Amino acid sequence: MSTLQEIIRACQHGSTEAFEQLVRQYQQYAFKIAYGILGSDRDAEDTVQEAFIAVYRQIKSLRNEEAFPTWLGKIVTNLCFRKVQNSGKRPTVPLDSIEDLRISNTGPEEAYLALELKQDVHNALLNLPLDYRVVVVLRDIQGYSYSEIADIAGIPLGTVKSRIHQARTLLADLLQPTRNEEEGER
Amino acid sequence: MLCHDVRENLSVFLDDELPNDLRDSIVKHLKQCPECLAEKERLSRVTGLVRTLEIPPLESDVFSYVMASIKQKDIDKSYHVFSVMLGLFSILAGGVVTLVYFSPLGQAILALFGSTVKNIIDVGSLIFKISSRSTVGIQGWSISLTLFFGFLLSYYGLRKVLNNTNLGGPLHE
Ligand SMILES: [Zn+2]
Repeated sequence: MSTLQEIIRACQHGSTEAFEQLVRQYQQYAFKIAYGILGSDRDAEDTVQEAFIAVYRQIKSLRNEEAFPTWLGKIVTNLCFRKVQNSGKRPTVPLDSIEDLRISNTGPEEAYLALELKQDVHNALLNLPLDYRVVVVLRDIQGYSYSEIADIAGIPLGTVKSRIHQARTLLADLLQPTRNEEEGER
Repeated sequence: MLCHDVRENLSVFLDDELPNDLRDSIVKHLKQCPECLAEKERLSRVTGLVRTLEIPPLESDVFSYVMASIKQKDIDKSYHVFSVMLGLFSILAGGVVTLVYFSPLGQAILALFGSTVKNIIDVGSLIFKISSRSTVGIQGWSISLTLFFGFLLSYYGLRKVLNNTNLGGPLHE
């Protein structure tokens, strides 16, 4: 068994065997992020393939081998952003309309959202604006730290904190609309 | 601590990314405020649901696809380089031909070049005591050289292209 550092060094020296090992070791890892953000296994698969092509071409520029997982996460996330922005299928909801989204789900149709919670989670996640979805996926599906997320998404740490919190509040509203709405502030 | 401040920090609290003092005061607040506690539970439940989201396994052979795709892109690149080289060569060759056959200057250069080479060969012939057949020699010699380099170039380009043609197609077909 080689360490990640050894595998990456070998990749940097052009070893195809090491690259194969790297792909097999990290393809599911990359897929998790892409699937979480895109919600389709076909799109996620395409993104993972594109990501590893980028890894193959750019791995020489990676200075710190330990940072590979974060670096890969960044590549996958950027490709997901590009994919969502290029496809008209699931247009991104602008951040300003986040309040509208919240309001639109407190109507009478909200009852069906509470159905099969497990199945709804991903749907609710996919209904989040892209910027919010990305931070939740990176945090809760992939388990990155806040500072890693700041690095991957290219946003300040404070924005990571507030975005994760808003995203979760929004998700909770989408999934459990029956909660009492009186949020008394003391 | 005010409820508002506590709620703002609940996600960071759940992720254990708060400084100790702030975390302690939130713990303290949660013990005495059922509303904030309920909100914490609500967020924690959502987080748990997202964390246990089922991600299907990636079935395809990513490695083979990636390698095939990289090779394909390299071929496209070598085709490109080959055609650019061929184009440049044609332009250069065309330019030389035009210069030589249609301009007096070219004729003069050719004559000068020819006589220089002729003289060199003459000197060589004198040294080796070979009879001078220089005029025919120059033309045949330069045509052979041009053909040789032309073939070399074509062979190199074609070999690069042919070597890489037999590839697996994309996974999704
Ligand atoms: Zn409170």
